[in-house]
Amino acid sequence: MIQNIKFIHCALPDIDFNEISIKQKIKIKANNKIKTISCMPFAVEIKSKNTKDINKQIAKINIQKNIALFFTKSKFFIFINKHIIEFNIKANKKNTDQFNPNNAIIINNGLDAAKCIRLKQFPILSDINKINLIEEQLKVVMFLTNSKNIAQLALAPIVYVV
Amino acid sequence: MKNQTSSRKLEHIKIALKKNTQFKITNQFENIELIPNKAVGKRVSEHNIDLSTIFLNKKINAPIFISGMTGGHEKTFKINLNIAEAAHELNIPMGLGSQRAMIEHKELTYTYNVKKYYDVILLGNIGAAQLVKYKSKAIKQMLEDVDADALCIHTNPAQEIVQPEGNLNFKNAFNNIKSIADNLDYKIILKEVGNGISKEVAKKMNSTNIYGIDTGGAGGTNWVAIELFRTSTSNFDIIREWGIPTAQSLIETRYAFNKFVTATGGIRSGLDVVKAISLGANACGIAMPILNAQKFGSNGIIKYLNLIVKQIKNEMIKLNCSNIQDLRSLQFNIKNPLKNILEQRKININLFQKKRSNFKK
Repeated sequence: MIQNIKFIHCALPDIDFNEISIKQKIKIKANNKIKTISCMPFAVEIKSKNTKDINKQIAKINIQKNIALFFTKSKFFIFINKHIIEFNIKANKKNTDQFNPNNAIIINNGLDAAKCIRLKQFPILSDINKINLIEEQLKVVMFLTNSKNIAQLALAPIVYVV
Repeated sequence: MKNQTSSRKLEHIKIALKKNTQFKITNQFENIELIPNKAVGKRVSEHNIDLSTIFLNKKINAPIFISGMTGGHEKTFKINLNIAEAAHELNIPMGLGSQRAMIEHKELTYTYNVKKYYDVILLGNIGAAQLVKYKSKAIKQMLEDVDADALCIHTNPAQEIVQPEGNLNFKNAFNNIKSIADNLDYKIILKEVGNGISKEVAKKMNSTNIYGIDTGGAGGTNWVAIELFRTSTSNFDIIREWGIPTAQSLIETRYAFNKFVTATGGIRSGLDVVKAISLGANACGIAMPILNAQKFGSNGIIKYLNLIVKQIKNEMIKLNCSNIQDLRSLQFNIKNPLKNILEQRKININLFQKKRSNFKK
């Protein structure tokens, strides 16, 4: 699990912290078509049960925070081109190039988010109010691993610790 | 004259002395086990052990030095003076803290200018982040003003991230260091300040003219922890224990870089020194215990370092080693978890045993 990994520190990052990008390109297979979206590398758990409330929250969070992936207990949503696409959560496939909701992990800080991204697990925020903190902390980890973007973070040196 | 840099220097010292600012993780030397020298016909005693070694082409009495800590405030002058007196007495090198303050405010030069009083091997110090603004000419003047023998360029991205006034732009840091090493007629040592040098960074430094690397590994004083005391936010607690432990950093650095390497970061005993030398360090730097010892003046520092030297000799008697070269030939075992981590890092430990002494002297 993510607790068992440790990033290797980079003493000479070739980066300006303020130029770090944490947008992620995600490929989604929907209705047998592959679509690519660029958004924050998190999903958000929506706790409402009412469909109208769910849709309203999704639209609001997307505008405010550029998050495009959402969960409820039994469903998964993608907000793309102002439309909401809804999926039932199914058994996972092994192809990690495609988003796999069964690889999702609830996180509380940016270091855990970084670990999820590195392990191709998918980080979920259960508390949308934490997103600014998590974004900042994620950028800190990226800075210290010499990762200018999410693609580089996904390849950052790590070790598994007992 | 009060200024931001100068005030920060004093704050750092006060926090380091009064608060708990040590790493919780260890330096990992406890996972190194040295195998005694089995050569027959040797009778090693305290009286026939030779700890002398070469440091920056000069002979020193023991493979230890006082790592750079401070300067830049009137109250830090006495600290540096006490250190210089002890270093002179013991014939070991000493480092200065970052000299940024004296470049910005010439009147603070005196707080670093210990060679006016004591003849010591002196390591100057500037941050990699400062090389954006200060080029070879300014750095050369800075070193000449204190009669330094070499320059340590410290890199500290973790500290800068947490520091309220931190510099977060490390773009071109490597190129700036390379340029200084190409243009300055001084030996240049790259040093971390407590988060360690990885094999990737060490390997990259082979393409430069730098003289050496100081590991500055995790396990001793924690500069992230020091800066956390200065900031009101807890957002950076996640990196409080961030870094590469010193033993791991030393092995990775020695594996990838074939020039001068020193081990600093949580060196707290003669046994740590002996292990580090056996792993290929040219010498070991000690900082925090010296800062504590200097509260009792230069005599406090001398007393502490004499104890370290005694511990080194005791260990060498047990290991049947009479000089530094004997230490460098010792076989060793590495225990888990360090062994497991080094294997994951693709460090061939058998190969490392062979090549750790084959560095350019």
